[in-house]
Amino acid sequence: MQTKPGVARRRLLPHLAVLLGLTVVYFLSGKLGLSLAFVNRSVTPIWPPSGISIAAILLLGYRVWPGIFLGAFAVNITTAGSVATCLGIASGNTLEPVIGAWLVNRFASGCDAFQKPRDIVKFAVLGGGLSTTAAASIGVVSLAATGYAAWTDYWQTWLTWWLGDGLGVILVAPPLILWASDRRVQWRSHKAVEAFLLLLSLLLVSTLVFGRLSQGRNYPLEFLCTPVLLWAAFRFSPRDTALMILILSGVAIRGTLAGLGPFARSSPNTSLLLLQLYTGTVALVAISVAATVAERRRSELQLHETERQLSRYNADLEHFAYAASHDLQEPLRNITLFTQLMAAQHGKQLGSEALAFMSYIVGGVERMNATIEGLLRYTRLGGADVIRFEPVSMNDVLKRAQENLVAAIADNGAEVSCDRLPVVTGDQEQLVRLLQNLIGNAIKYRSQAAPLISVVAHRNDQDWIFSVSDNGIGIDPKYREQIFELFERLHGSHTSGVGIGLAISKRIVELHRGRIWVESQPGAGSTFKFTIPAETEPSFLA
Amino acid sequence: MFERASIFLAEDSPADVYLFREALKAHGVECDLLVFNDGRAAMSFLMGAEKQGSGPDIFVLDLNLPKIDGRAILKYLRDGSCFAQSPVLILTSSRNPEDREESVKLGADRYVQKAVNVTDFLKIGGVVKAMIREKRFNAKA
Repeated sequence: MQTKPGVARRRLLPHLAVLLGLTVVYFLSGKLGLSLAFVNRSVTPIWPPSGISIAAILLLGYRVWPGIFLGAFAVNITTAGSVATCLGIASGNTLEPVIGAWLVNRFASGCDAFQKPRDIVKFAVLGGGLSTTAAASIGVVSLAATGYAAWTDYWQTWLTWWLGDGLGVILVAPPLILWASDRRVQWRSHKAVEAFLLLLSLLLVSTLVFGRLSQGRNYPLEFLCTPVLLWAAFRFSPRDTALMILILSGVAIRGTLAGLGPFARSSPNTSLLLLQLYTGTVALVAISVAATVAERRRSELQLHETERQLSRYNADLEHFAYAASHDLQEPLRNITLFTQLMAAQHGKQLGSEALAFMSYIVGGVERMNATIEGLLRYTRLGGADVIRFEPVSMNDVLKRAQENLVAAIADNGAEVSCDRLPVVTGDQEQLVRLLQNLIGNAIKYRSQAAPLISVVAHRNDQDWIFSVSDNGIGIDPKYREQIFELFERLHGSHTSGVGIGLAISKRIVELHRGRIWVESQPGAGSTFKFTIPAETEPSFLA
Repeated sequence: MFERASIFLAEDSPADVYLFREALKAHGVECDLLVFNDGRAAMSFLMGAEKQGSGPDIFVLDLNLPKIDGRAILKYLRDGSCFAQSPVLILTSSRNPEDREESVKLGADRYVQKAVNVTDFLKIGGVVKAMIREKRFNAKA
């Protein structure tokens, strides 16, 4: 309990130091701003404190408001006006950043406002445009009510005050917030050279536009600054861009006050307001571009990282599938071998029923082995088994598929007919497996009649459409989608197979950027159709 | 027909050891079978045999063994041991083609994948018999 006051004091002292620091900074930047006051001693077109104060609240929290209040009071009481006037102005100047920061925190992502173009616009409208009306309204009323400004000049004074504050927010707050959030400078040597060249170009161009060279001519050359700022936006960050704008703004204000550059008019107040509008607009555009570029860079990095992660997961999965299948097949091998050994060596003593049981065991294990093999094949597709794209004659593919099925075709008395098939771009091995699966299924799910299977191809605008039709038992339309999923078998155990064939077929077609589907009615045969994107002109191979 | 051959078998699965004996029996191979259930036991035997300068006629190695795997044993045999010229048969359940390539590169004479049915598995006896005969023939020449 004794330590508590100590802790409170330890927290209080740094806080007081921050408040004092803020008061001093506010006071000095306010004096700098008021040195450019022309319409009224207390009203200036350039008011950096409004940017400093909103940045301070966003970065340090609402509790720093007394620093702002004291700074604003001190700056005004040492300039003009009674205590009452200055209390009024200071209240307005404190209320402005508090409202602004609240709006920005609430609607524009707070300190992250310069990461996305949308938030930047919100920051400009809410922090630069809306909250500044508070200070302008309260301030000018305070001046007029205490006789330090004429009511007749109210709107002109108000406008100067509002623009000065708003542009102070737009020009000064972004570099402060961005640099406070990220102070690291990690440029490699060539980037440092580029940064130096950028700074040099900016100084050259801004001196050319706003410097002594423009004297007497005041050509409207301000557009020359745009490419340099876009250079900063595209090649560097929003933070660096904001700093460049601040530097440009400094050079431009100096020149314009000396009557130089495109914005120099007879009234310095008008000149500065025009200039500030220009720099404010350019700042918003340039920082938005920089934010867009940075956002894109971030998402590219993220995409790259995701891609890397995905390929790592894929490799892991493949490794797992391989290891699991090996470990599963080992015990299965033992079951088969010893069941067979038992049948061979002790079959006579055990009798015919035991021999039948043993053949069921071996049959069951064979099925399980086939399932594991199929799963392994499925996981390797498109992973370890890379799809190679080359011109493939579908006639050859069909011939090879038929060769692989020669036993099943002969056993079932099946007949496979085909048209002349085209040449497509794809992986021969995988396409053989695809046709083999589809024709194999047509034989497996046969009806009483001898299987008649036909393979044809026709072409639409972009694709070759292949059809494998049969006169088998057919498929209820409600299972159209389901049959392409892993382990989906509709017809009980009177047919062999493990329910992976169509899943593999679908994957092969998808790896060839095609689609596969089935058209069928129960009892009326099935037609499996799949597409393969066609290259340019149709071509047939004899 | 032969004088008794001595066969070194590194194999961790008792089932496969049994089947291997059956295979030898099926092909009438009379031999002393030295069985090691893990790689370390196999290696310590080999180091002892190396000191004595005599050892088994034929080496049969499983690739995936506990503690020290079959590849390491093969490497030891081939890297300047006195068994550098002895016939080595790799008997594995691995279906990975890379394992076969690696084994051949390391100096295996034969590579047999463990069969999934008895008839095929028992053929291993014939392979071993041929290897023994070859070794005897080479020794005479």
